[in-house]
Amino acid sequence: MPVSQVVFLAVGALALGAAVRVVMSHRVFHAALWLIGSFFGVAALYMLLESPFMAGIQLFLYIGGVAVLTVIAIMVTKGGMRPDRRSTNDPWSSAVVAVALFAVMVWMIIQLPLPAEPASQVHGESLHLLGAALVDPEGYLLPFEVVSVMLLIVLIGSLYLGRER
Amino acid sequence: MDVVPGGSTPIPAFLLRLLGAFAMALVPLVLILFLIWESRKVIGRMQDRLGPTNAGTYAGPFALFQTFADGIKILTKELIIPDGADRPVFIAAPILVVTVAIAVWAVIPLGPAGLQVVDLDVGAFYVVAMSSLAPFSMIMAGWSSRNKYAEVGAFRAVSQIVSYEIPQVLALLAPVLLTGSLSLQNIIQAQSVPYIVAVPLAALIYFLASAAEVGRLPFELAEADSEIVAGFFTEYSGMMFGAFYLAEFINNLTAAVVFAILFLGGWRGPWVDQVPMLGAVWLLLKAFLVFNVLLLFWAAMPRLRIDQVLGFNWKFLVPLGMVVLLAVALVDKLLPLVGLTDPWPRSLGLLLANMVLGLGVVGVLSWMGRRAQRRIVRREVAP
Repeated sequence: MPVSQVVFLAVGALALGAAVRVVMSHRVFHAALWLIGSFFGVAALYMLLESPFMAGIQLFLYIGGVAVLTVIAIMVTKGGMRPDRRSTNDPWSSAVVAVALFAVMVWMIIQLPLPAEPASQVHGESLHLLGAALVDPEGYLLPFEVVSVMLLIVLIGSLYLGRER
Repeated sequence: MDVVPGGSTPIPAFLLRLLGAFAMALVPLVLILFLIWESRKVIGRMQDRLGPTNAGTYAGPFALFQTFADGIKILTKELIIPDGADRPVFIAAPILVVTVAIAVWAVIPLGPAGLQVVDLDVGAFYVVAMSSLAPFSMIMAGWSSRNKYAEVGAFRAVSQIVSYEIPQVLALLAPVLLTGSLSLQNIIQAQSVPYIVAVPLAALIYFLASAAEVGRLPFELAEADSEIVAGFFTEYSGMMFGAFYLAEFINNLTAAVVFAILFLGGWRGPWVDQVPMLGAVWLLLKAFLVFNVLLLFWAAMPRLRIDQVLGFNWKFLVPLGMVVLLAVALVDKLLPLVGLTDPWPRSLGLLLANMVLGLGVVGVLSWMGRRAQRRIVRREVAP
């Protein structure tokens, strides 16, 4: 096994281990910290797959966005930061939901006809190609614009809800 | 791109990379030893003091070795971990804060090709992504200390950094847009005219936002020593405190270096073509200039309240940043249509657009502010 594969598997195992700790932690704040560790592991995986852009997005959106929001939500919840409080309740029903979701996802991935060979040999990535594809009518222009309009609606909606009356 | 192999015996590439990374990590650490002394001296002078003058027998001229003496002293201090603290998190926080501070330097180009650990395609983005990790070390420190002051400091740090990230990214997009690349090396190469001439508004926004991001006065809410002791690192002692102190200075230096790269032309300067190493000197000189402006802020500014800091961000910097970004994109597309493609005319055209825009935005905002003020006054008088 080449070194890069060993490193890849090791980093993957770390990310997975952190993810397991997210679920097993009794304190919700510890769970949030492990979640960050797990996100970080995934970013490292992207980096090993020669996609620094995806790694950057992972760091910026998931750690800088999702994880920060999670921590803020914990901070403003009453008693959420209290270290002496067990903040998990009924793990079993959550486990059932999680296993069901996982099964559905695995089933969907198995259904996909994945090519046995890589479609094209690409080393690194081309931001220019990605950018062009996003604004190309033949490419992903429509979904891109739909998403941006949706985000705009969300922004205006939150401003409307939060405005001074 | 990477470190150039020297000598006849081939050294494994990954070992060279490791050495390069290690050398690069030492750059901010060594510079900071000098910069801490310099800022103490400068701030001392600004406050009508002498600053450090001697540290025992071996202080050297002008107490140059003060920082070494402080460093050795702080290493001998006991590390006190509070009784109720969450030990692993408490210990991990100072490690994380220094790691993140140094990790940014991986993409800093000290000179033309070769003097950089790795020229990422997305260098500018990497810088932002790394700085978005910073609040976590503060949350971890503040939360694990089990101290009310620490927790208040952490809350403030998070709200401030998360808010100021938005104008920072908006302002950063202006040079990226003008270059057409996220690589810091390409951004520098495109600046035959420094971008601060073309997009001064974006530069101003970036400067203020990064001052807030590194927690420099007047945005020093997270550790406001007269209100909440020392904020999120109240409970830290010895070298763990030293780590926060070090990371704070490294972050200041990094902010200055990144500003110099994005808006002041990075390593560009005379004779760099002949002597590539000179690039590092130019870059650090420019960064030193920016660092000293930050110092000036530190010594001269009062501390704002947290609502003022956040209001300034959301009501002024964010709208301004969005308008600047739109205007830069539009004007940059329009200028070639009227035949202005050379660097200087292009920059001056953009500069003109920036000035009109700046005056316009300030005018509109102050008008809206006055209107809101009147409405509040009326409401308070009427019922």
